[in-house]
Amino acid sequence: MIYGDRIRLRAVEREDLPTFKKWINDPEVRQGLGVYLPLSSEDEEEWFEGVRKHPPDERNLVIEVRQPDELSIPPGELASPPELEPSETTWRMIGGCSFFKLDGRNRSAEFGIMIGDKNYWNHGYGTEAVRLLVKHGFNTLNLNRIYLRVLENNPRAIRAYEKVGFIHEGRQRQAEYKDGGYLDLLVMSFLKDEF
Amino acid sequence: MIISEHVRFRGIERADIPKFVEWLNDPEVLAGILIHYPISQADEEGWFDRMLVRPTDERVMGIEVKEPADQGEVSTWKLIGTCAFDHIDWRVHAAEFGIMIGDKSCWNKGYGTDAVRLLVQHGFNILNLNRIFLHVFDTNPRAIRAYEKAGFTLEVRERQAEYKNGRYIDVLLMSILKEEFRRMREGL
Repeated sequence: MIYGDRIRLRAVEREDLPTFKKWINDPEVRQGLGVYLPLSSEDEEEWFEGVRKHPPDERNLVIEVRQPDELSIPPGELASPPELEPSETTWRMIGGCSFFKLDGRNRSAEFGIMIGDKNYWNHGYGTEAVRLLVKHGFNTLNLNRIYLRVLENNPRAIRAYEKVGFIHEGRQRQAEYKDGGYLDLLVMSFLKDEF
Repeated sequence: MIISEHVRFRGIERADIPKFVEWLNDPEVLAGILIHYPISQADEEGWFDRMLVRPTDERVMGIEVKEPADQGEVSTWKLIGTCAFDHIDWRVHAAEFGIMIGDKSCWNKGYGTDAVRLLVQHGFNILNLNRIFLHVFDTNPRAIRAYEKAGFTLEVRERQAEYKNGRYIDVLLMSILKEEFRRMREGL
């Protein structure tokens, strides 16, 4: 488990699949994703089996938020290690993220992230999850370059990446097609030096 | 066969493999491409077999140039490199391509630029693509210049995206869109 301030990243479980299916079929959520076909439970099962075959560092992770009602630690203070956690602490799954195209020789990786639970949009959870993933990438996976691609019409995500410290590298022109028109994909990156 | 005045593309043959092995083991050729390990004849035969089962529009093509013919002789064509589209996305109508001029005696003569122009023309006019892009090391000014001449625009500088000779180098992403290709044609 990878712990942040208000959130943690854990491995995906089979029980998570219905939640993922619900999110990925939500038109508002998929605005920012590369998915455009309806997704079935069978598709999700297949995806899950696929994830388990990924190299360990490229497996998808679930983003969870510590539930405020059970919160025994003042907000802003670091989460206690799991073994010291009060047993009644509960966590709520709000999204997923993962590295992919991890290149061991070039020490670079791309990542993707989704906050599927819309109640948790615009509260800084996405930014915090990206920060935690980046820290994991540099401090544990020993990456040198972390990058991402984001649709030009997703200012909320772009702002989050900027806040974390990602730099705009450029714009892949007309690299995606959505709702009857071409869209640009922005490429952003973060180097170990900058971290 | 895809033919222009000085350059043509043909399907590659098993008999071309020794040539490829020679090129792909040349350090000067390797400086511009993604391979960093010695390539054997057996490696290339495996590559050739895998290539045959790729989608037809993504098969590797041999680049040939017309050799000057003596008077009364029929001109012959000489294999100088290879190129191919890759990752063709038929929904977005976008594709990447790669190109190599392996025959160093043919460097700096504009053949690379001619080949890129021909491939781009094939991509827009036959394959009906909307976007054609490529990756190039920023340490390869000769290639970058050729792409610029063929009408490509630099769109992304991927910082420290490749490690070569003891240091990280940037990788440039360049592209050309159908509307730009059309405008270029009209300007000619």
